[in-house]
Amino acid sequence: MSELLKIEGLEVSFDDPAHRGEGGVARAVRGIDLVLGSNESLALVGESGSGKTAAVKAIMRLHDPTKTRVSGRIALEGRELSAMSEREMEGIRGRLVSMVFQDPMTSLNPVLRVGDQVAEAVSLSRGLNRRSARAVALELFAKAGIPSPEALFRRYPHEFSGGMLQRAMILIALAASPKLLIADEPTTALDVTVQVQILELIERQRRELGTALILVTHDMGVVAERTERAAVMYAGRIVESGRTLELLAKPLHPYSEGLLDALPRPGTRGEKLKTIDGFAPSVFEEAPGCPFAPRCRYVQRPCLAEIPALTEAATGRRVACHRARELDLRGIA
Amino acid sequence: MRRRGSMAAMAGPATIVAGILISAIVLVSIFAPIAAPYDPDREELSSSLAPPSSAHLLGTDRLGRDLASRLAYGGRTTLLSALLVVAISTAVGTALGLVAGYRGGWVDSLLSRAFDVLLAFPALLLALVVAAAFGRGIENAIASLSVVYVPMITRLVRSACLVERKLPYVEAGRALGYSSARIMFRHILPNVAPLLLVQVAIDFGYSILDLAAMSFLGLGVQPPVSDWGAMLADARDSLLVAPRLALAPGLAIMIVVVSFNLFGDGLKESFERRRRR
Amino acid sequence: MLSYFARRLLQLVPALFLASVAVFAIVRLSPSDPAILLAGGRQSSPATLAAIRAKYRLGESLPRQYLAWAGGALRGDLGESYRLKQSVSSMIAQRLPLTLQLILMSMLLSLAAAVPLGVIAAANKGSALDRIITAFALAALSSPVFLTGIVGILVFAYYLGWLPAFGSGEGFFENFRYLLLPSAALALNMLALSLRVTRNGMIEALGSNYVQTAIAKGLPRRSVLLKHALRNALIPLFTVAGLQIGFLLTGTVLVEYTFGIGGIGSLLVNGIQSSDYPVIQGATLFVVAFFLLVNLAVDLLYAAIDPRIRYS
Repeated sequence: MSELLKIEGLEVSFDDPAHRGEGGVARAVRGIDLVLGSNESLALVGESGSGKTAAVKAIMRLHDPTKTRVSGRIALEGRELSAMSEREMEGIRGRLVSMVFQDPMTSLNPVLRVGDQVAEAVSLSRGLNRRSARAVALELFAKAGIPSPEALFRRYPHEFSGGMLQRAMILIALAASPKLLIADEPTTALDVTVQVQILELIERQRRELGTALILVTHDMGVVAERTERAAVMYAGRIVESGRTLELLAKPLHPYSEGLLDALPRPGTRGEKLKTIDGFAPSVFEEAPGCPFAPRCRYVQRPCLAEIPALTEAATGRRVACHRARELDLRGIA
Repeated sequence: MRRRGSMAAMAGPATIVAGILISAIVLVSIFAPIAAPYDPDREELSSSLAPPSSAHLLGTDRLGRDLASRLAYGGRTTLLSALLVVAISTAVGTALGLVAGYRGGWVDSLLSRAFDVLLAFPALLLALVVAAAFGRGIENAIASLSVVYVPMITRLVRSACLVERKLPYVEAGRALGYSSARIMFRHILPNVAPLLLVQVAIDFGYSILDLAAMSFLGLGVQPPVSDWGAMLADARDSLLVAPRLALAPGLAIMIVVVSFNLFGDGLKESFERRRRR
Repeated sequence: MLSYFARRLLQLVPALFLASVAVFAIVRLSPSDPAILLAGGRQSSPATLAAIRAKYRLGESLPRQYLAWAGGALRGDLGESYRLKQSVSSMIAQRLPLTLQLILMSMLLSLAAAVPLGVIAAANKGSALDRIITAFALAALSSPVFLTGIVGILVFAYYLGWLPAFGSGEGFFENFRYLLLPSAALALNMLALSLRVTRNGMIEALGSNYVQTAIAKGLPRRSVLLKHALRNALIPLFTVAGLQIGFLLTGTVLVEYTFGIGGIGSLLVNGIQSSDYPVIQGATLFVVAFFLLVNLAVDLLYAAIDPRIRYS
């Protein structure tokens, strides 16, 4: 398996004049490193505001350049993305890398027919004329398990349910058989019953096409059987990474433990759901020490003094915690 | 009780410049009798259509009247009339809006229906029709424009009221036994005031344009009184020879209306900025 | 879609009714004797006055008078101007083509300028270009349309001699030259609102999720702008179309007066100036009906363009 994506020292910050008093710059991503092999799947887990969406959008350069500062290296198939012109990025988007967004209702153009929007993606990637692109898109509709594909093809987004729309979005994203698919919280806006179907669709398609996957989510439960590796993000940094099953069974970072603890589990009916007390640090903040310290139940003096670096704790496992070696944390079996 | 802080808005540079311009123009108009070098109606046929000189800063018109003085006095008429239109329509519109928004009920339904239809029609056309029915003259023009501007203000105040009346401080007031009138005028109104102020500034601009239009058509001020619109109408006869006769009042109108619009926009922006905090 | 059309058509009826009542009331509200007013306010012979009294049934009750008048209006008879010795409907029919041409040219010019400018301003939001365009729109909005007209006459007709200053010609194509200045003046006045709406619409569209999807698809920027964003950005234009039509009508009246164009606007103004009540009534009723119909047409067009509306 070759290396598909390599991110080094990625930082993303936004200008925010409304918060001039606090420095006016929101630092969403504070230096992350990631490596993804082709055909690999990685979960990027974190609460809202952890910087995960900002990080993946930076890969596709979707941020507004007038307000956003992106630094660091992003290499896709060895090519450095930050050095590319907008034109070259246009060639990469949709073709090498694709994205599925969180809310399908607002992510599709309300005044164009859904079928046409899928056909647009098809024609862009395969250079087909309108008719052939539509025919291909119709086939994809059917294969994705959308009922009465001919009828729905001609309909508008507001006539679809969220689940159906998300299927269409997935088709659009995969139309060009990209090497990497980024799914940014693809199921958060959907009903629980539909969530599983969507995740399975992504999984099926990606196996068929050999696409690598970055699955961004705040829900540890989603992660379990869907990805080979996982990385946990907190306050703009990766605090733990490793093989998903290992991480879930035995987390090395207190935050990961907290996230797993918070999952509702069978057999715990009647018990209060566990939460992690406190709030994540503000994006404008520059406190010394570990960003999780204020909320960590294992905090000690050194934690407040120095930011822990992401280091290798075991093969394939990395964690950013001063006390990682000493702590014996609980996971889910 | 006031829900937000004082109404002093943080103004941007454009707003300040606009404010200064408006104040300057208003001052000139108020002090026209003292500042104007000549009596605006004084005819001096010997110096008809004289170009600008030391004697006449902007020259004279066809009847030898000093243009600068006419501009100052004309501005007085225009601005005063606009003030009346805005004052009347705002007073009536606010009262109606408060009642409709706060009390609701059949009064609200009736007013809303009627005003929705009325709002669709352009102000000036309605004013022209009223002029047709009741005769020409500045009083009629002011009255009809005031009436025509009311629906917009009513709608604005009404929607703001609908929002405010659901807020805790209104309930608290009711619990304390305050009368509806008291709640409406002393509590809701101050919170609605910022939005209203913006509309007032913009309405000032529009009323100047509409009044000038009516005078231009000969249906507003009647001679011998003159305002900027009437001056524009007069200027048409000597357009080729003395274009400044049209450009002076025209530019004056433009500058004042731009100032009011800028001021209103600036106010709106600073109110929105404050609300976002 | 058809049911929407039928519903809106029905809503037209009460509005027209109210308008006609109001127009009817104009003459009756005045303190003078209606017969004298309808005769044109001058000294008329008793015979003429008697004829008027009979025709408009002035002796009968108000509702009956209204019915007589409204009935006539529906049949196309809007009364007769004794002053001008012509039937009002024939005058309107004569002048209508000119006014329509003026309105059409103004609308097209206005949109042709406002939409591209709005798109450019939005695409370069915050830049100097954006500020210049916005300032230009503000100046255009704040200038009375008759001033723009006069300046236009001064520059293009007198100084440059490119275009005729007043009046109109024969037929559609010759009129084009005569109507260019007036429609430009009118368009300038109207474009501020369309420009702002287009700009705001584009800014919102450009910040939307579906535009993000379009970019993520790898669509070239131009396609994103024109195919995805613009289509959505133009929709709010329909919402303000009603306001625009109002501006348009007002402006038409003023512009026709300023440029001496023999359209319906100047008919109305001259009628008001000379207190020619049959003309005032007929022209006003026509203008109101026209206004309501155009509004209806715009609403229908809106429903045709935005699929979400058809279900409300």
